[in-house]
Amino acid sequence: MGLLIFSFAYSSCNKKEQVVTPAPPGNEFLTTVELKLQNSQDPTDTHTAIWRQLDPTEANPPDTSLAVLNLKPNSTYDGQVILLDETKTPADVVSDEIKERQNYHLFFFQPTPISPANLVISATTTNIPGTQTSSTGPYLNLVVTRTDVDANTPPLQVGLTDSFVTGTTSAGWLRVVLRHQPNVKDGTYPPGSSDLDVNFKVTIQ
Amino acid sequence: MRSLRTVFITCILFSSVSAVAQDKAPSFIGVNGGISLPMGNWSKTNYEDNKSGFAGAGPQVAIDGAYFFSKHIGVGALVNYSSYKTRDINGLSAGYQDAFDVDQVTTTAGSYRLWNFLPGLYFNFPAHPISITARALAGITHATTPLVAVDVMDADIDDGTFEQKESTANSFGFDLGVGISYPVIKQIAINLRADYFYSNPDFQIENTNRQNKAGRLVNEYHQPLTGINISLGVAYCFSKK
Repeated sequence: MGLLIFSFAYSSCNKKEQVVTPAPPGNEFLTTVELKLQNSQDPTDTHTAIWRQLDPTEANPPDTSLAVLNLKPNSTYDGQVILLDETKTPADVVSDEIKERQNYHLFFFQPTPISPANLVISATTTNIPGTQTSSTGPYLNLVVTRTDVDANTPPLQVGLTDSFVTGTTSAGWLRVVLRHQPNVKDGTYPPGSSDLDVNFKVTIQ
Repeated sequence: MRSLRTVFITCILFSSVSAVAQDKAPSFIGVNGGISLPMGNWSKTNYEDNKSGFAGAGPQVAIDGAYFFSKHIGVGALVNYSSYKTRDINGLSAGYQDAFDVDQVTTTAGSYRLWNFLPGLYFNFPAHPISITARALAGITHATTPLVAVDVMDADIDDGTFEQKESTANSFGFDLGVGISYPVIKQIAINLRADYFYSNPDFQIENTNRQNKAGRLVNEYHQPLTGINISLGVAYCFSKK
């Protein structure tokens, strides 16, 4: 009888329970992306480019009138990415939350047009795999590198702060992508999904 | 003369032993089952606090027995198994969902399991028609933590499952309890017991597929596994009351 009770208790009490937890409603929106750049040699040389989409349904096109960077050639800029939710008053600084959750977020910056030789894909470059390259040019002479790292072991780059290095006079686009890589961040682009994917017009002159 | 004295002394001794034997509390073997109520940090459900063990109430079964060598005192042993489902899995899962800021988390959790092998002293206090028994037992506790598996999904992409593996540890444990016994028929009694139990195993916990530092991560657990067992059982008594 004792053995029976033991075996019943053991088998019935060793079952696993499963719970599915969806995200709660009312998550914040990511409406605004600001790129703030300051020339490391000339603090008065500052630029702010703003991409804004205030319609969460995206039925209306985003406001890209200010999504423009006019940079000086052969210069180095200290860059900062600021993300806002402007559906709230005052605006919620989403990039602060990204900083708190930096261990599974990663920014990518893809200048185009780009030559095949310069489209280097690695765990420390900001290029995006699959970007269409041009073998003839002209190219946007811009290289972006991340300057901040997260708290993972070993640390991985984040991209909330960056270095923008310009070359000779040129023009093109800078695609900015924020990858959300929950427990799969490894420095590369593929794992996870994109929290944002926007384009800025860039002129170097 | 000497042989007479020997016979006399032998008779005295036998009669003394017989008198003691008649006064002995009945030895028994019994089976008990009931509920085990974990206490302390082990039972807390604070996602942010790794001391929280998320242990919920669970069933426990036991076999015990005792040999009484006097009216009040005996020696015995308890073999006990108890199981504790993970409490508030919803809260645990919501914690992971928030920590990874994802669309959906699926959390699967098993149970704590405890085996106790505890010899010790039994005490009997007759109070007709019942008797009150108390016990103080100490020995080995063999404990296992639950498997916790968390599957992360975001933007319709399954970002994989990470696991907090089961861990097993042995430690010193003890049980202090009191109960009442009521003889229903000759040599059969029913028991109602309450026992406090304690052990403090040092679990080293393996976690797999934890690529990034985020979310609750428990690499070790060294908190007292303590609580109250409430049980009802039946015992076979080897001698007449």
